[in-house]
Amino acid sequence: MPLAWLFGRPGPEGQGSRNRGPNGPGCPGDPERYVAGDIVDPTGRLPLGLMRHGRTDALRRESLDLGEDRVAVGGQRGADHARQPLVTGVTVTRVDKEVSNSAGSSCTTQFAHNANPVFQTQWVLFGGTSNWVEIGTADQCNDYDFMFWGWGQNGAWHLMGTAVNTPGGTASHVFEIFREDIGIAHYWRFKLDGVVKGTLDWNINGTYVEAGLESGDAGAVATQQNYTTLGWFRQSDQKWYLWGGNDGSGVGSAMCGHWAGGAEWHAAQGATC
Amino acid sequence: MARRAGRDMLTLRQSLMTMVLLLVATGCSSTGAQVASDRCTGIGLDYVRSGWGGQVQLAATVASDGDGVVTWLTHPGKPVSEVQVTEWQQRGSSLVAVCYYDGDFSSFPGPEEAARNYTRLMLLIPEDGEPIVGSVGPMDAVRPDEGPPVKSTLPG
Repeated sequence: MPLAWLFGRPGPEGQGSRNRGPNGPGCPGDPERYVAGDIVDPTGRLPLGLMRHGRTDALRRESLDLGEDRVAVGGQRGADHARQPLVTGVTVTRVDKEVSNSAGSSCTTQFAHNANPVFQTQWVLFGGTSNWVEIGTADQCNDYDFMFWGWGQNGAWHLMGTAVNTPGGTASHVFEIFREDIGIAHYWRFKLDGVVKGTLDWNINGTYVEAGLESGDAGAVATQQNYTTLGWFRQSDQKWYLWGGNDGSGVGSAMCGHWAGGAEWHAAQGATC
Repeated sequence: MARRAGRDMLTLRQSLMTMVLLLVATGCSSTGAQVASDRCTGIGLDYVRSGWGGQVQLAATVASDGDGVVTWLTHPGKPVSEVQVTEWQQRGSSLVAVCYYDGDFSSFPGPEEAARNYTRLMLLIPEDGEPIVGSVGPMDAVRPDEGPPVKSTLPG
């Protein structure tokens, strides 16, 4: 299958991004204005806009087969001014809301393209963009849900484990990745409500945390997802810090995301947020 | 004389034993490779094509085993998931088909900043026939020569 991953990062500030509207970047109801910059778009689909660090970039990720790839995530860089990597944890409190996925096939095949997966995820990124740890929940067609945790190294994604059936319901749950150093080991614990789901020994420090909604299903409807009490752990003083209001990515014509006050990110697809 | 005959018999016995072992090893290697190939072209290919589309192609097959997967999981420089290591250790010398498929696997998750150039999927298919996702990524990062090694003496 031919693939076409296209990337564009226009240099001048203000180009290549969807303008922010009153509802935050990319929210329905906002005026649809795009400056494509140097983005190549063979399919005629709208570019994906990204706002980061107070300047606008444009990032285009397109698969000719999958269609528009969409995310709505908020992030926080946890390095200090000297850019020393300090992050050894990320915590998010949220309701595991149901997503209405498009009809598909192979709905119980985890992560399958044909199952139209939508993810609520959080990451700690290490330095560049090729290494990370991750925990999240997935909604696929026919109401098949599962939880997953894993890591990325050199751009390759490694699955550590999954658990069928996610917390669901209307109660909030705490999703956390936290590094615990014991002797020479550096154990990254992947937790749900304090229960360790997986452990990874990796001597590495993070520089950035991120959380949000990620969708490969253009027709999915995900009502407002609130990512609250966002926190990152700083290794140097062994404390959790709240984060919010810094970096945000609002994308595509069907997704939205915005900061809601303090340490809270709202995201949705096919609905307001 | 009798001592020399005894030595000859011992040498002959050792030679025969070596030949038998070599034949078994050669035969088993062929059988293991064939079983792995069958799993990758059968169960594995059905799994990936139903999930990711009919364009997915089998790129490589490796006949490994549980210990081989552990070797891969604990490769120096690689983060280690002890639970996974324990699970694969329990499979020991049981045959594991390692199947590499090329296609569009961009439906796997990843952070916004990552390239997510997911064009190769590595599946592990143990004796029970249930495919397990090993890793997904760019072709130059998900390579047979860096995955679970070939085990040449696998039983069929």
